[in-house]
Amino acid sequence: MKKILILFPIILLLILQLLYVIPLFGAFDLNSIKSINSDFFLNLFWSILNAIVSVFFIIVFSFYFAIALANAINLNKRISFLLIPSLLGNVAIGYFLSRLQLFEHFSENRSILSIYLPLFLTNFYQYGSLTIFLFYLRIKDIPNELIQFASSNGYSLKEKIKEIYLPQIQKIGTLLFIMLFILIFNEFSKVIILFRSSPATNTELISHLIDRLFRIDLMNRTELAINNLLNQGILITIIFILFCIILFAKRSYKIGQLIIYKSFILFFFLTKLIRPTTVIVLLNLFILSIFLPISLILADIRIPELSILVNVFLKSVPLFTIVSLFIASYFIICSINLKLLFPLQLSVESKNYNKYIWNLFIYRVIPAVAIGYLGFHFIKTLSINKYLFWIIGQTILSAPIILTFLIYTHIEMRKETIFFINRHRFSYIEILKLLFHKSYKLSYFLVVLFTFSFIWNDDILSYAIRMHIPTPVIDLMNNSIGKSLCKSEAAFSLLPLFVIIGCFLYIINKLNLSNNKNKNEESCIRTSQF
Amino acid sequence: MKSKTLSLFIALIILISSCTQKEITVLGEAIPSTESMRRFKNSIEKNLDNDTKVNFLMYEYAEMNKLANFDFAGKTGIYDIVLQYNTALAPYVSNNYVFSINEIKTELELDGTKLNFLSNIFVKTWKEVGCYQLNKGPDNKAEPYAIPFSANTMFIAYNKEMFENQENKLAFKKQYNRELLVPKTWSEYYEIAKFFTNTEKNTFGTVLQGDPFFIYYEWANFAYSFGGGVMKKEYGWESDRNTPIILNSKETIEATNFYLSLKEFDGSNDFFSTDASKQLEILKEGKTAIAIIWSDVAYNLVYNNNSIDNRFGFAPIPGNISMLAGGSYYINKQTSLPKEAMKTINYLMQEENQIELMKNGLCSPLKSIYNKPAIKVIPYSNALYNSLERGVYMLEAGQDAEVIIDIMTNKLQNLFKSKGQYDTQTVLSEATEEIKTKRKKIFDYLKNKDK
Repeated sequence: MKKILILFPIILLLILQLLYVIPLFGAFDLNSIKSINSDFFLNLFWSILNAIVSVFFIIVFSFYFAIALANAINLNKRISFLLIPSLLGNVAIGYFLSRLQLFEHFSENRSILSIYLPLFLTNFYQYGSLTIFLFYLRIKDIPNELIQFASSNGYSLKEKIKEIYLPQIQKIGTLLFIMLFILIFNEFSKVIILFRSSPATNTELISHLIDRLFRIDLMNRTELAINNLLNQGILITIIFILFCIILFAKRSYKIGQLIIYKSFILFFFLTKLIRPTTVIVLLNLFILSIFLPISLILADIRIPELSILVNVFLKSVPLFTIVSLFIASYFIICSINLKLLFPLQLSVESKNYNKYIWNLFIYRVIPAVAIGYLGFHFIKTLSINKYLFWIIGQTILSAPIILTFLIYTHIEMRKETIFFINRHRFSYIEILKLLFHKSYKLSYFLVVLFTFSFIWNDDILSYAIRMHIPTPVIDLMNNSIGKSLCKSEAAFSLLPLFVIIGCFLYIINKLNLSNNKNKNEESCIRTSQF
Repeated sequence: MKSKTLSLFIALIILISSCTQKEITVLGEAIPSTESMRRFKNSIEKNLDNDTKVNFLMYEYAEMNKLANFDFAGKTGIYDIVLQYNTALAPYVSNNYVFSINEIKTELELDGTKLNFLSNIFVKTWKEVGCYQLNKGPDNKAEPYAIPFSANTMFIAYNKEMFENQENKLAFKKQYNRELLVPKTWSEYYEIAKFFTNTEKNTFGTVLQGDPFFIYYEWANFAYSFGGGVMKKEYGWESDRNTPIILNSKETIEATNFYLSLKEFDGSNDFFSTDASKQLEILKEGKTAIAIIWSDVAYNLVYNNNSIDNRFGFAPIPGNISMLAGGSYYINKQTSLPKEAMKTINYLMQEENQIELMKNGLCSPLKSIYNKPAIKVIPYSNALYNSLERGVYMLEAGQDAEVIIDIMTNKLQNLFKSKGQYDTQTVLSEATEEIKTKRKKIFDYLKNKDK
């Protein structure tokens, strides 16, 4: 019974997810899958290739760059600016880069290389900096004594990577691989804004093909369009599950380890290249790549009508913040239950919670247009309030990524702490008190920040509430392409995001990013309490 | 901690409960003219008898189209009025998604509300974008199912400074032995585009719309003006499995080759991502002589933060005909407030409100307002009026419209991408076969569904 109670928050998430996807699986039709044409598989191939190549480069390069960064320079207080591109979201990053007009001349001939190279670079810009940030934090967490021990025992750099750095990023690396694969595979708005995807110009990923075919059929052959959409969604889900099975086969980590280890030559190159001065130059270039478009965008801003200002700053910002806090709190409770209470109740160091988490990813792989359709279906069949639908939808959309982030990265309680809690039979409230101590402040803060970023930048479910709340990301999409392009309004749509990210990063900079100090503080808390 | 969490919950519940109000939701494409409808929100609400609120939702076209179709197909009734374009006409009427105008008109007249504006709409535009013949046969005729909110077309925008420059005038006369004037024929258009393309001076003859959502519409101007096109029929929505396709006709091939030949003088950075807005941006740079633009974005070319940019002139496209396009107000069959929806439309269609909307970018479907002084000062109003008066069907709007537009977009982009490697006739013949195959599937499906 206790086990069920502990698992209740995560089971609730799974039930809600199931409610959303039931119509998808209810529509399973083998004939429909058989009739999927060759274009589908070709686009699927390009999308998978795009995702795998992008993720591979992001992980490998970020790993070595993070090591070089951690050894070259101490950036503890300033490293948080690396988060900016990943916090902007797909629509904003698309507009951000299109404003620089970097790829326009490059992509005119529309060869495969001229499309996919900019796409890899864009993906790296958006997610590579986040990966470097997370790897950097993990590497900085390695106790100095361990590195000194390795050095005094004559470990070569290659051995240090194999014995010290790789195990340290194992969990977060696997999480990032899955997370980035899904995000890049299901890419939609960014490519539309940057390349105006179409089949003739080799710029159509699987999400665009599904969207286009659905759009064509929806007008006349409604039932067929929906049936095809749902079956394509099922097919993609099946492919993703197979992908996960292969990835999580026991040898997958070893394969990953081998790839990173074999790409040591890259590190060799980076160690030669990346000296403290080079790091500073590269980081300054990165800062320039962020602040140049920001300054261009800010220069576009014209003061809008007062009612728009009021709507955005007094309606949207507070609503999105409250909802983010609510959802983030829910995630924190889920992760505490899974990470701490579940193993405690079983009196073992169980990792069974993995299966609950990975199930949540299924919802994330369904094509965006299918999620949109299911949303409408959900509102109709359950006559549910649109706000409630939106909040539930956002919770299950961001759950897999935020939860796994939370579980695998930050709430890292030591075994002694778990033993202590178990021995003294802490109540749930006491455990919460312990976990809400300032030593975990950064973890929770990052969770709130990423939850906010996911919800604010969502361009699927936000359409459902726009009739009540101005959603700047949709305004930005409206003002980025088509007949309604308007730089001043696009710039204004980005303004609240810049302001909020700026505030969040300022607070992060005030926090200590190293977990070493936090862990020491945790020991102090235990000592003082008992 | 507890009190903070509690107050967060309370705030959330208040926000959730505050959104259960009776209202008319209007969905449309986010363009200046439709966005300007928002300013009538308060006066429309005052005009409605009860406490009904009016909410305008404007999105980028592709997204708006998808949301409207989700709503209609799912019968969710989220949007009461949908501002859609002519491609939606046949499917919306055939699927019984929308009210016929006569149905609501009769009910409103019983309440004493008269729709006087109906007699004032451009007839050809209304027949093209708002009327549909549901049942075939000589005894049946097209009925109105939607009221036009915008009478669009495509016309020429030219850089007056470049045309009036004395040096250019002399050089042009010397080269072509005629005055440098706005082109009346397509060969004149070509000569002007060629004359102004000068890489040393960084000037360009024209700027084309190669974006996947725009290329078909631009091409249609050339195809129909040359005497070709996609099909031989009177209205865009008239289409069945046997409507003759004229894609591989001599005229269409000639027109397509002419269209392709203009790429040489194109001033866009990336042809395949140049849409209507990017085209305007390039024109605003002042280095491009002439372009065919959408009438509903002409406002953005001329007006900028209440100031007028007088550098541009406007004229109908070369030839004797222009494109009839535009969008209409569709009233959702699932709405619980059909009368209020029609009253909202009625209010917006009043002459004084149409003048106000046209001053903010709308291409009004009301004929009478074009001779008003407030409208005559709009630089493109004359070109718009003349284009609408000589307007004909050029755009597909039948049950097979989406399929045809998709096929043509693909073929046209491929032709441009191949840079002359593909033979136009072969590509258009392939397009004809593809359309025949795919439309057969559509009409077979619809026939089986009716059974």
